[in-house]
Amino acid sequence: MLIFIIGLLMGILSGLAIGGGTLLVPALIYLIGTEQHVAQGVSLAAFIPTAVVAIITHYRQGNVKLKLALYLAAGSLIGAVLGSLLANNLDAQVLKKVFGYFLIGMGIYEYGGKSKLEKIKEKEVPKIRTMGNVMPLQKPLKKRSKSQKNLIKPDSSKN
Amino acid sequence: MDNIVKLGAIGIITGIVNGLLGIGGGTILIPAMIFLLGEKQHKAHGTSLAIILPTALVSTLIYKYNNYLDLNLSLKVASGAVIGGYLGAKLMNKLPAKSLKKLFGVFMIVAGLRMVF
Repeated sequence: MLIFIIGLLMGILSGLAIGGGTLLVPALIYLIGTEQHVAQGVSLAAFIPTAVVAIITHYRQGNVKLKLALYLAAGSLIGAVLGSLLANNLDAQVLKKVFGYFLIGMGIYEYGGKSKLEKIKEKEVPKIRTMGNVMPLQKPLKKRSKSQKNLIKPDSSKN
Repeated sequence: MDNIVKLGAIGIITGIVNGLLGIGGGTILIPAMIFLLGEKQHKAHGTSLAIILPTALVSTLIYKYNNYLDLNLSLKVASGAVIGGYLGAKLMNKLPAKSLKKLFGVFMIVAGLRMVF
């Protein structure tokens, strides 16, 4: 029953787009006593049925760009094999630490920010900087389309 | 060509995070699509799911192969998560999402610190 409730809470958070999935792994470890690798496996497997339902909804609303998804999935499938093999060969204690660091980073991002996505529109400069630090992916690339230039502008001032 | 490199890099990083940490990867993919590829947020959200689903499937299979998959536990969590996901989406406009984000951000930092130390 406790497991079901954990799932329910994580589902609600994910539905709210708060990234509840990230909290599922520590919840399983500390509330149920699941081993690190197994907790991550559960997180992955439990995501699948939830995602199927969500994709159908998004697809009907015309929010799935299939071609783009295909290109990105090509890379992410390779990454998944590499990442999973690496995780499965790491000691549970080491993997737990790696996860912990990621969680701290995500927590800072979540606290300071996912609302940054909205704030970008308001062109609020200082907070976007913190995101650049937490999410290295968002460092500006040299070539950008016009639309992207507008989005990233505040961030590029720092570099 | 430049674009293909960008797409490939975003994809591979998303996949590695997915497999290594067992979490979706949407937290990386969605902002990457918005900021680096200039996609709109709701399109990025929908498209990211279509990328993460097959990615999670591959990762799950590798975890299963290495005996790190507890199917029974996964089913229990998933049954809660499906119902919760529906409730969450329904409640989206009725709950104070901003303060919830801050609250769970703190949860994450605390849980993360406990895992590291």
